[in-house]
Amino acid sequence: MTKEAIALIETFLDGSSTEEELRRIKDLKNEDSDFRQKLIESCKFNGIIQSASHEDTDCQKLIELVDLATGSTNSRAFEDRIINSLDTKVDIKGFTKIPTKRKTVRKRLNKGRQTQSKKRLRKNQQQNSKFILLSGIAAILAIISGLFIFLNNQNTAVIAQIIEADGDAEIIRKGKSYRASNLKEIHIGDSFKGANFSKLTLRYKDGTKISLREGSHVDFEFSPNKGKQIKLRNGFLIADVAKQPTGKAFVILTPNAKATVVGTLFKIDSKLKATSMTVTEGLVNFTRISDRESVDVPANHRISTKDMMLQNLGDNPLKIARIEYLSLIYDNKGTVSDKYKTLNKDSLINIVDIPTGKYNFLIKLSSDNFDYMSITYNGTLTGHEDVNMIEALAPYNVFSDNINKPNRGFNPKGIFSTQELKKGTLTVSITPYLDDIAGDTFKVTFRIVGP
Amino acid sequence: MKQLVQSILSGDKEAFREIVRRYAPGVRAFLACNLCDQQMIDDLTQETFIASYQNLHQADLDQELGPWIKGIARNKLRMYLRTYYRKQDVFQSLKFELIEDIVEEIDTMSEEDKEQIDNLQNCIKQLPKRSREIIKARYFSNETVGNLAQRLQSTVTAMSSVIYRSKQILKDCVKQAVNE
Repeated sequence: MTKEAIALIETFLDGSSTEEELRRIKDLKNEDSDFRQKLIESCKFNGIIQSASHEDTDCQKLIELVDLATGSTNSRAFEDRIINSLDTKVDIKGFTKIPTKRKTVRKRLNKGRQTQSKKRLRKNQQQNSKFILLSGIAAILAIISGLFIFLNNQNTAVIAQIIEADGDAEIIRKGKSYRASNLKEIHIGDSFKGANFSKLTLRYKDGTKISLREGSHVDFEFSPNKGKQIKLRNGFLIADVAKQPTGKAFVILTPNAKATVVGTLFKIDSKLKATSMTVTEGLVNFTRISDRESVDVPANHRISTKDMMLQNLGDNPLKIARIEYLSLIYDNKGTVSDKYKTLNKDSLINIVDIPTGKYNFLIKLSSDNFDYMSITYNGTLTGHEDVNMIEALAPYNVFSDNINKPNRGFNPKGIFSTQELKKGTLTVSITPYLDDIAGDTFKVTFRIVGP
Repeated sequence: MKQLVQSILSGDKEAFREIVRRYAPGVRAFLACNLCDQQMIDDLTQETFIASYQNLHQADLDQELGPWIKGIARNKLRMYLRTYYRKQDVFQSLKFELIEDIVEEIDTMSEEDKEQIDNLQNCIKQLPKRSREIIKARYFSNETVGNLAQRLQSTVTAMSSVIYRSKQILKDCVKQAVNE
């Protein structure tokens, strides 16, 4: 194996191959049986190492997730165990009082039934009329039917309005899948599954607003006793929760954590390994399920189940990054280089200066505080991608190499696009976002010249 | 195994946990052969076992269960790849073509692979310090080869060779451990 072939395989395995490299791999795979065999073997062993390095080596977390998803008796017990243990620890009102309430209601119902039966018997004896007896039976049947219809409606009751649905967002209702953009409401028991580029925003009757991003998997639940509950099995949500009734906190349950809130603005990112939460307003109780450690998270703080340490985001965490300037980088090494040119309306790029045709955009930001950016370019780069990058000093660098590749983030090492710059006038527009709030759009038009 | 499956089918849902414990490392390894996105690997592993549970009555009890579960994982992966890459550009289509080809080439996970996974941690400990750190950074912290090269002031080619050589040592080590 040549060093070049090894490098091709290794970059393919970490997902950073360029288009040119992929073409080379394809050719080698077809022409060179040794390379083909090495590639397959490397892929296979790569999988073995990835599996061995997985955090959940004993598969306990996976088992719990599968239990939850299959809804088996045991999983229900597991879920109840989590909820009950959390309730006693953090004293969440909506759950701890349920058994007492149920008993009281049952007693009242029994008492009511007995009283009604006695009254009815006395009435029947007094009047001794078959007609009235039949009427009574008919009335009871009507009440039972009404109750049945009422309960049935309760099960499918609307809990929220869909105010925005983009992309391939799907709502699973009673086992059937519906395109979210074709629905207007969320019912109790609905699930949301967000595919690529999908987004769902919904508003509850009390004004509580929930925004879900692509890749999220959520179940919506509601009960008069518990209040609103969302099971975020996986993904990312932003919640702007209106003040909730006393004893009916809004609960967001993830496989790793439970957030209990009475009214505030926050966001939750739930992944298999950990759940993190950032609180913008108010106070949210955050509990790690594995050890029941519970922390009240105040405004402008972030917490993760990884360490349960409160991270202060400073006085103004919602400041959206401003784009300072944009540079075109041209190099053929795939590494950061000083071969760049800051772009402005008078910029001229000569194709002769970019012999490989490979280029990238270096975006300089005023702050590292942003979630994702939307980039449009009147060439072929269009789309958005999440960004998670922290640098020590402003202006902050961002390389925009993976446009059209959702959820991968900007790659700080910069994999250069192989798209060729063509002569003409190009416009690049970049908009930074934070929690769905757009910052100022930076737009630059420049000219490309050449022979 | 047949007895285990029969007890699940007769209502012992607890027994399915044993199936997950036994086959999940292999399923993860298979998916990780073809995907770099850890989150997606986790999601597809989860979906594979949910589907396995729901369709267990269709499994042939006279055959090994591993290949059957692996078949479900393969289908899940194919569906994901088609959904994800369908709307993408030429670059992504090319990647899809390559991955799909490799998916077909990688045969079902064997018991030996499971043993390799179990022995790998020990073998990593036996690597020379620099190789061990590089392998850990690459696989435990998911750093790309390019990132590692830049951080350790090396080139992508040289770093690839170090990783490749280290993996050869690991491969030999786990094979030896399995044989012992």
